[in-house]
Amino acid sequence: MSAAAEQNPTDPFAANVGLRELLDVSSLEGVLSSFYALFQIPIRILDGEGRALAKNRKQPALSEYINGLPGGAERLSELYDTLKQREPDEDGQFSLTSFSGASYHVAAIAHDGRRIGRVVLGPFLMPGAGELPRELLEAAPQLDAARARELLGALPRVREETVRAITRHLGVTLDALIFAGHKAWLTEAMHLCAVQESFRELSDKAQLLEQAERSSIEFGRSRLRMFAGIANDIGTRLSHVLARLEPGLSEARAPGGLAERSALEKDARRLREIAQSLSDLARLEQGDFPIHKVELDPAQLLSEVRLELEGAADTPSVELLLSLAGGPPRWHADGAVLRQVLTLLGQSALGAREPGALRLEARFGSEEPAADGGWVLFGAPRTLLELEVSAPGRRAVEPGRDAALLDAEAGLALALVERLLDVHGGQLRVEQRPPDGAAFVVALPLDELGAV
Amino acid sequence: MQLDFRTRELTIKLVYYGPALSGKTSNLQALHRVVDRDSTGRLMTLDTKDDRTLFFDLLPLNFKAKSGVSVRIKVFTVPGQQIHASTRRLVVQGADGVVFVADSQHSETQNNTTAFLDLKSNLEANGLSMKALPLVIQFNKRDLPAQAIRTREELEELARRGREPVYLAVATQGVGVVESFLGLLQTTWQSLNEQHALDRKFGFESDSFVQMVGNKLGAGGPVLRAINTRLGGAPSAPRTQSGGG
Repeated sequence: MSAAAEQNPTDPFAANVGLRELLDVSSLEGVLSSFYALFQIPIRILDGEGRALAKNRKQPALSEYINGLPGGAERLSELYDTLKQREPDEDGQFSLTSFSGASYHVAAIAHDGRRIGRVVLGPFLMPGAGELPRELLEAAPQLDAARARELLGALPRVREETVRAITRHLGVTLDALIFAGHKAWLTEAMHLCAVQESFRELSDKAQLLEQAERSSIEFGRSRLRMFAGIANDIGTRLSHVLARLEPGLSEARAPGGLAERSALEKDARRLREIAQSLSDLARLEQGDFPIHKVELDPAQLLSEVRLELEGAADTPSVELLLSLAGGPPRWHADGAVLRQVLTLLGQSALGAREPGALRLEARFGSEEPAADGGWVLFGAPRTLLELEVSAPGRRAVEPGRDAALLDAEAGLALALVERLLDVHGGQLRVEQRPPDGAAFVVALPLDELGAV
Repeated sequence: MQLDFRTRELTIKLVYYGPALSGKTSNLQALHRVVDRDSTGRLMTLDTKDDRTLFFDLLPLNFKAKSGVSVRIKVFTVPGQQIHASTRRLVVQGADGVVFVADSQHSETQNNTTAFLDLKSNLEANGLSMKALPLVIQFNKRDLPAQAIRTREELEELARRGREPVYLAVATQGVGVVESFLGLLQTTWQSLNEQHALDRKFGFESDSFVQMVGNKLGAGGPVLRAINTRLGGAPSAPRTQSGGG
């Protein structure tokens, strides 16, 4: 491979390939032999560095004879250096008649705007030539003139127009071969690079899979911890229930009995909710959670959630804000699922057991694509229906980040929320708003919901 | 950009990117038709049987600046089909500028967006930033029925709000092709000049170089007239290259 082609093996376009990469030498010698059979002229192809790549004939007898004479080899070497190195004329060619009286014609081989080698035709005799030049006799004093004249006369006689025509013809032939070679070289290089690229992508994917496996194991452990917490919660509440049942029903009429019954009801209801959440989570993970998308009015939805939260928790007030003017009034969604999501978030926002104020808000939002170039033309923003549940004065626990901080119920609720939102293409984000508290924002893309 | 001090040769790589069948190869074919024969080699197209580009198309353009430095512009297309993602990433490697060829049809809006995202991702994978890379957008196929394509007014409005120069084209007829190319060349040259001081180091005259390329492409008249057929795009907006290139 040429030095140029070694520049950057991973980028086939960065390399400037040489003749050796583009041509098959033995096939090239076949072409040159065919030219010799037609025109009887010796031809050599030199690469960009002047090294012989192919030739169609051994050294002519005249050259062999001169080479064997004292001083002859040096002059021949000078001649070959000139043929290899002399810069061609503007038309990419030059001709010269050497000290031996033989003529040569040299044409540059160009490809892709670059000279990548040269063709040397010769030695041959121009019409009318044949006398031994004085220069030859001076260069090799021991020369046998009769022998040299005989060998010189044996060289093919060619007119300059014929030499130029042969050069043109060979140029066109080489051009086709080089182009095909270049195409094949690039194709092969691209195949290799594509394989490398595929390997790199597979390595990346394998790494991601390993990471996912590690996360999965960690997630499994977290889930076990969460279930242990839930079991503990259920056990605690059952203990409470049992403790209250132990004294007997007769005490229910005693002073404070009403409060006991209320506490029992509350614990029982919470236990039922936990059990239901566990059941839903299991079904979601198994993929058989039923989804029924119907026409949904978000205002109606939030009102129902408000009633549910006010009724079920010790919540003194739930503020309701609706800013949905100008948009479609209804969407297709599973109302029960979204109600469950918002209720769970409401309970989480309150810390489940602690009373406090709560705010529910429905509004339109938008998801702007990244502000990179071309986005104005190609990145259409998405309109979102945002449902916000916020509780002042409390930092929210972020699912996925604060797993260790979650108590059993909150962890279960948020795990459930994320899976429930998946079925609507929605996302949950937690916005900390110090010092005013925090908010859970459920963002549902309208195109996923489908406006009615 | 590759610079060979020994041979005083500068090589610039420009890439035509876009969704499948948006007309990237047609752009190169049109350029090849109009360019002065002495300034180009063969257009190398590696097609599949259904005329879709398998690997890439390559159009070599060669120019000699007044200073004697040879400038070689290698113009590539990428294969648009989804399955050739890794090839696209390879071709975009080391790109100095990109023409994003978008399909004007309404039905192709999503494919345009997907291809644009793909470009962004492939540039980033090669350490290039879309914000820094010279980029020109071409909306092709303007000869299709008016009801099938986005209106000129719509594109004008988008171009006005955007940052990149936008050209309208019918690549199969050569309309808007040279303009898009020269628009990219000017922006790319400006960006490279800012980074490598080409004018100072090599005695280039940027304006006259772009004008000479325009002449070789048969632009006729002042090259700025062709470049200014763009919609939007801040004229001579400076960009700062970050990495790669």
